[in-house]
Amino acid sequence: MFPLFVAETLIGLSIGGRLFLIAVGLSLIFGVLNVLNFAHGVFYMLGAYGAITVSALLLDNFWLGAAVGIVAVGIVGAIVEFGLIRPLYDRDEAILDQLILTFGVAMIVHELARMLWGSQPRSIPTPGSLDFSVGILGETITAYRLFVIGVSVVVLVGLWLFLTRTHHGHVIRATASDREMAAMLGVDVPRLYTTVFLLGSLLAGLGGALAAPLQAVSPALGDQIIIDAFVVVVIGGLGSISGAFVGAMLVGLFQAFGVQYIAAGDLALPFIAMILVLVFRPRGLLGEDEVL
Amino acid sequence: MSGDDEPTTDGSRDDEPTADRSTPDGPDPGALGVAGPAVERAGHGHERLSFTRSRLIEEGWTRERLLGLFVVWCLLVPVVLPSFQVYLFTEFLLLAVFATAFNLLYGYTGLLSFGHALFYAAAGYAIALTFRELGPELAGVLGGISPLATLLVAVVLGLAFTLVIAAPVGYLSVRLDEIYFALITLSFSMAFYAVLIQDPYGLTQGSDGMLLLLGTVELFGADVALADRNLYYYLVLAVAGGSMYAMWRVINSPFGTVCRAIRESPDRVSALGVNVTYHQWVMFVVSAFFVGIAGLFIAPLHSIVTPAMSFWTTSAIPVVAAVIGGAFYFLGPAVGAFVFLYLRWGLSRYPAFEAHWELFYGLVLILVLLYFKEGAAAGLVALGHWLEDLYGVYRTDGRSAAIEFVRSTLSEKAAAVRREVGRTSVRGRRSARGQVATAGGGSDSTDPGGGSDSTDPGSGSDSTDPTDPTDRPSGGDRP
Repeated sequence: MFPLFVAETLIGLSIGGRLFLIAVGLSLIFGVLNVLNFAHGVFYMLGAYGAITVSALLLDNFWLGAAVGIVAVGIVGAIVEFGLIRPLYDRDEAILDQLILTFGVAMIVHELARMLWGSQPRSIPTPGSLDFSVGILGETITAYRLFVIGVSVVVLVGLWLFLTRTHHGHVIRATASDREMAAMLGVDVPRLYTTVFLLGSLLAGLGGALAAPLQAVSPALGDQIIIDAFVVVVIGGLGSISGAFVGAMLVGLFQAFGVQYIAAGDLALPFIAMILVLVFRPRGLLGEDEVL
Repeated sequence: MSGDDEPTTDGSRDDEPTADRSTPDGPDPGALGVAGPAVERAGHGHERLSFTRSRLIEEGWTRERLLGLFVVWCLLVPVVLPSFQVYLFTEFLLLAVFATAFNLLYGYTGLLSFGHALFYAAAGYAIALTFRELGPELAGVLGGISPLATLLVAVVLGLAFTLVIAAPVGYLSVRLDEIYFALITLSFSMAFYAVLIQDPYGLTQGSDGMLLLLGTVELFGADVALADRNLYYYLVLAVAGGSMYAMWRVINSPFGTVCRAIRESPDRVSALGVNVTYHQWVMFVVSAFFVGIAGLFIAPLHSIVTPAMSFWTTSAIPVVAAVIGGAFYFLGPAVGAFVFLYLRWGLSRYPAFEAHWELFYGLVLILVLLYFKEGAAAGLVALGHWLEDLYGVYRTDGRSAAIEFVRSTLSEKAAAVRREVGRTSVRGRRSARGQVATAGGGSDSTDPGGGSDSTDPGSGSDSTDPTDPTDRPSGGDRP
């Protein structure tokens, strides 16, 4: 009936899935640690490069390469939190200092990536096992794009179950809402912070690794994607995981439909939406005090 | 010395435990214009210093004379430096205005804007558009002096355009604080970037950007190229000097004092009956105005304006400059701008580093944030005091005493650095737990001396921590 809408919706959801994977870690880290991590975009970029490099040079298998890349990014994230961000928690302007500090980390990683991999964009083919087309309502989409959408849903549900149904999840939410009280009750807050930062970085790495077959990867990727991630988490609500999902899907659909129906200016749309949200509902569409 | 018995207030990050004290109102040959908390911390130990200082002032080393020397140097730049260096120094002056204007909001009002590139780009595009659209028409009317007239019109239009944008953007932005303020300013500048690059009205030539050539003026029969490096340098020198002086006056006006109070504690100032958001809004517009001046004059220097002027990485330049230079000093951002440009220039001489200067900025930025929150300007002030001390010792006790003074203060300094590195590596572990004590002690964000004072945050946990930091094995109790 409306073939155009189906095609654009599918593309929008596919973009949204990728955006969610980058935004969810950012939002989780902000929700628990109160750190807005500017380096999150370069972690995503590292995940993509990790998947490309390992699968192309060492293992000749995209899935193993992606796994190695993701773990490497997680380790880098944990080191950054432990070594650099941790000393700043008890400053008065901790949040601004940490923002600027992670910006410095982003600059360094960006340059290191340029040294290691050069400025030329790279890409890898879609993994063979998912390189076929699927027909939905008369439109076709590659199975890999569907897979990415599926992974984003799995991550959303998995994180939700983890945070609401497990002991560790309860501890994390308790610490997010009142870290002094959690510390008084015996929670090792610094260790929990490092763990959550590690988890968030793993998610950034996952997003980057899965996005590698879908887009050209260059060292500047981090600079671009972090802005998209900011837009998503602000629209959804800083610190809210379900908000990140809603925000990501909205922005993905914006981008898919904007290209078609707005002659020029679709690039500005997400930012205008971000401004409107900040003006009228600064906590975001789904943002509450809770992590979820 | 003082660092041992008083680890809490004396600054984990004070460079010179004994010599780092400045007199709040006495004439200060360092002349870096201390902003708030540094003044309040001025305390013990400046008796001896003020003796040396008054001696120096008697001998004529007043702030005015130092400023005069700097002005003379600026006037001589085109005479003594090669052409490229004049270009670099021009760029430095404009970047200094950009960073200082940004710091009106960050250092003096407590608002971190990540979108000041918006005003930089708006003014730059305004001058480029004026020259393209109005330039030919004015040439038809005015003839030879039309480029000069166009420049004047462009400056007026550019600043008006900046103000027209800044007023609503500022009004909407200052209602948010901290991270949300940073994010909304970021999104305004990125929206402008998107409009520039997509160019919906066919005005700005999209991602290619617009060329901007000032042209040649015919004055009294002689042809004068406005873009001539030396001529343009003097123009920029006058503009930048005027802007810096105007910003200095703003900061030291009653209005600026209220803004500084807002940075320290918005709640208290609000309780005193001051309209906090109104002050923040006005300061936002003032800040944007001076950023606009920098954008107006950088465009002809580069001869081109591109959408990248509004990209967030441009907004990051004044942030980096202010943090590296020291946001609590009036001239801190200018010092940071100097470091920013000349570090890049210095690196560009080594091809291995040239392409990767960002790496060094990142490293410097992190080091400054972790260990020297007051920035390079504080280091310069400390160095100035140390030299004063040294001079005083030399004048009273002779050369051997001066050498001894150098040796003892340097070893003291080295010990302080070692201690500090050890403290920082363990502080994080204590921080989250110590937070309980901080909350209980009530020395939280409303602490008057510590509003944005980097040295303070340790105090909450330190004051309840019986262990002397000097006894701590450095990094020994990492988990």
